[in-house]
This record gives sequence, structure tokens and C-alpha cells, in this order.
Amino acid sequence: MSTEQTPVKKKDVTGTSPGNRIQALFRTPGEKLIPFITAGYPTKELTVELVLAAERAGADMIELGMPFSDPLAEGPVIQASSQIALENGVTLKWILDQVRIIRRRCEMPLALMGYINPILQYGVETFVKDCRSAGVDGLIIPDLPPEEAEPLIGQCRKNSVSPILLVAPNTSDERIHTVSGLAGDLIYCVSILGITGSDLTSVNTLENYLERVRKHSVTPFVVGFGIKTREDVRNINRMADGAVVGSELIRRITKTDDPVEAAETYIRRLKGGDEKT
Amino acid sequence: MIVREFQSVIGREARLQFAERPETPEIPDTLVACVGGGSNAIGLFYAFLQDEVRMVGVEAAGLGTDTDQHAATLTKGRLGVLHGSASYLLQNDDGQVTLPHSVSAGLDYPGVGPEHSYLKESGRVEYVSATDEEAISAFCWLSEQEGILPALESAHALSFLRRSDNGLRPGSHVVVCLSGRGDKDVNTVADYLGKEL
Repeated sequence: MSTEQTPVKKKDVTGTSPGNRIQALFRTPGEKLIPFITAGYPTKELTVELVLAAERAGADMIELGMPFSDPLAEGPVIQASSQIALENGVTLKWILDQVRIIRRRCEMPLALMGYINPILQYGVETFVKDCRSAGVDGLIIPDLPPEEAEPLIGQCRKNSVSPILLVAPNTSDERIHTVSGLAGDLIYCVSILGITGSDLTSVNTLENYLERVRKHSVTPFVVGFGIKTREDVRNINRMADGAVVGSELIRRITKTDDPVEAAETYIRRLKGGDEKT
Repeated sequence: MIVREFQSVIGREARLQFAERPETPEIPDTLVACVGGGSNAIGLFYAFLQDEVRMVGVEAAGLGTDTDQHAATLTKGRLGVLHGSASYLLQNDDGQVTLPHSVSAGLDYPGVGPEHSYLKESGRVEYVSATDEEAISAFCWLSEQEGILPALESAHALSFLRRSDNGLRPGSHVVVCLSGRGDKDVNTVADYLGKEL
């Protein structure tokens, strides 16, 4: 068990400069909401519009899913959206083009989430460089274990893109420390041992887990999987540095004739924007 | 490696049984097994990897490896990552995993156990492929000749014996892994042959 740990300084662990929007965001205090949408879903035309709607509604950062044929961390809702996005002809190159378009109109921090194989085929070095030039701030790759992540992390550091590594409730204290040290800027805590769109566990279990992360992580951390309501977002932000909402947002986008309006209304509610007036 | 460990019973037992036969040499000279994910094949091969034994893995060529309807991962795939391991993979140019096809459900998989990728790269094992048609024909052949119904997966391995270019000499001592029974496949075969049961 880990009683002694090598101290890792919070500053200077990435060596990235001049910095990106994610680093800047997590230096500021306050509640953070990170909506997730699948790029190219429900249509290719709506991706930029949905991101801009999220920003209007008060989102602090956006996570854009790069669809993959075998998305092993995803529940049924995001799986189905990935399948449709692929049928719509979504590729990594197209996604990066959308980020360029988004960047002409919006400075919200943006992370891409996807699986390693399409990135390997694209070429890790070229991909991370293209991410940087397009305006991507972070990468979340759920099927890339930290032990195999060095090539990608190395490129991320060179290009000031944050590699957002993942931890789960069964990650040991030591490993939380190591993984967050490798990530450098931000880590993503999977709330449960399961897939996206599941139910959250009891607040107590979550609290114990996130207290462990708070104690052992050298970086800020956000929590995702199973977060659906304004109350969830508020609770998670008490225990962590931000909340990611994916499946429920995709579900609402799916069930409506006006996805942009539905996304904007839902995100505003998650953010508590409708409480203030 | 977990799969190989448990499946290696196949190779150890084949080795023992072969050695017990007074009329044949100590070990066979050729091993043939079908490869989908590759579990039965690695189980058979593993006990003989250090010996001078020729090994052949037979993948499912489906409608043909020149079509996109096959499951011949080692023959037609390229390096990729699926389900957490780096191995040969059937995928498109964007790295999306493509849907394989084979008349046998057990070979219908776009990836392959990473150790097979290694054995292919090192040249230790030969990997070939057999079409749906060749497998069905081998299924009928063994059923008619021996009264043994082989699984359609195993029938891919069997079909290797019937090729003119298989490099087997008369008098060769070949072990073919019959990885499963074909009772489950009788309806599939009847459908394929257009027969009613």
C-alpha cells in the first residue's frame, strides 16, 4: 500500500507552453459543466451549431466524441449515436475541420474523446499536431492504458494539448497519483465500474472515491458517467472540479425535432441558468 | 495468454495420443487448425512450437479474400488495436473496424489473438484461408467418409487437406484440430446447399 509518495509538483509537470484553454479553465474556481456530444450526430450539419448552443447555455468546456465502430466504454445511447455518425461519414479529418470552424466563433475549451485505433491509423504525431493547429485543447482516449500512452502523451506535451487520462473507482491511490502526474493538467474520473449512461452509485460511495482522488491526484479532475440532473451536477461539483454529461444530452437530442434548442435548454438547466432569474 | 493456457490442453493431449500410437513417429509433422480469434489453434500449436513441426492456421475467406465478405484477418488485415490488444485487424482506411463474414459463426471476428500475429510475423506458422464453399465441401466430405460431423469452423481446417497446393506429401502425419462438432451447423449447411431437412 502507498503510504509514502513522491511529491509531484502541480506546476511544471507538463512542460507545455504557452498553455491551452483547459489549463486556463481549471485555474479558475467555480462549478464546471462539460457537455458531451458525438461529432456528426444527429447530422454533420448540426455539430458546430450544437457546440455553439452549449456555449450559449453556459457550458464551461465541450467534449466532442469521435465515433468508433467498437466504442467499448459507451452505453447504448452513445453507441447508437456513434453508429449513426459513422454512417453520416464522419472521419477524424472532418472532425478537425469542424473544430477549425468552431474556433472562428468560440473560445470554449474543447476536448476530443475517442478510441486509439483511428488515431493510430491517422498517425499519432500528425494527429496531435493537427489537433493543436485546429484548436483542440485535450484528448480523452478510454482504451489507451497509461502504460502504452507515452507516444501520445509525448506528442501532447510538445503541442500543448492536454492528455486527459482516466481513473475509475477501483484505481489504487498510488495509481491515481501516477496517472494524474502523467496527465499533467486534468484527469477524468469514471464514476462507476460500468458504461456511459448507467445510474450513479450512492452519494456515499461516490464521495469516498472522489475524496481519494482529491487526496492523491496532482491535477484537477472531472467526473463523468451517469450524470443527468441539475442536482447531480451540483453534487459532483462539490466533490470534484467538473461534471461531464453525455448520454442524457444525446438522448434529448435524439428525441426532438429541434436538437439545438433541446440541447441549449437542457444544458442551461444543468448549469442552473434557469434558477437565477 | 489466459486463453492459450487453458486451450493448451488440446496440444498436450494431441501430443500424448499421437505418441501412444505404435505405427506413427513420436510427433506429427504437420498441424492444421482453423483461426477465427485463434483459440483452438494456439492451444494445439503451443505444445509443438519448439519442435520441427509445420503449422498451418486456416482463416475464413468467406466469399473470397478479394471481396469484402471474409474474416481473413491475418491474410488481409493490418496492425490495429481492438478490445485492448494490438494485433492484425480488419479495418477501413479510417481505422474503423469492418464487419467480417463467414458461413461459420465462430470465425466471424474482425480481430485475432495477438500471439498469432506474432507467429505470422516471425514466420513460425503459415496462415492461409478457405472460402465458405471449401468449408462446406469439407464438411460433407468428412461426414460422408467417416461419419463425423465437423463444426463448420473446423471444416475450414479440414479443407486444407484437399488442396492440391498444400505441400503435403503422401505418408505425411497430419493432425487437424476438430475444434467442435457440426451438429449445430446442419441447418446452416442445408440452407447453403439449398436442401430442406
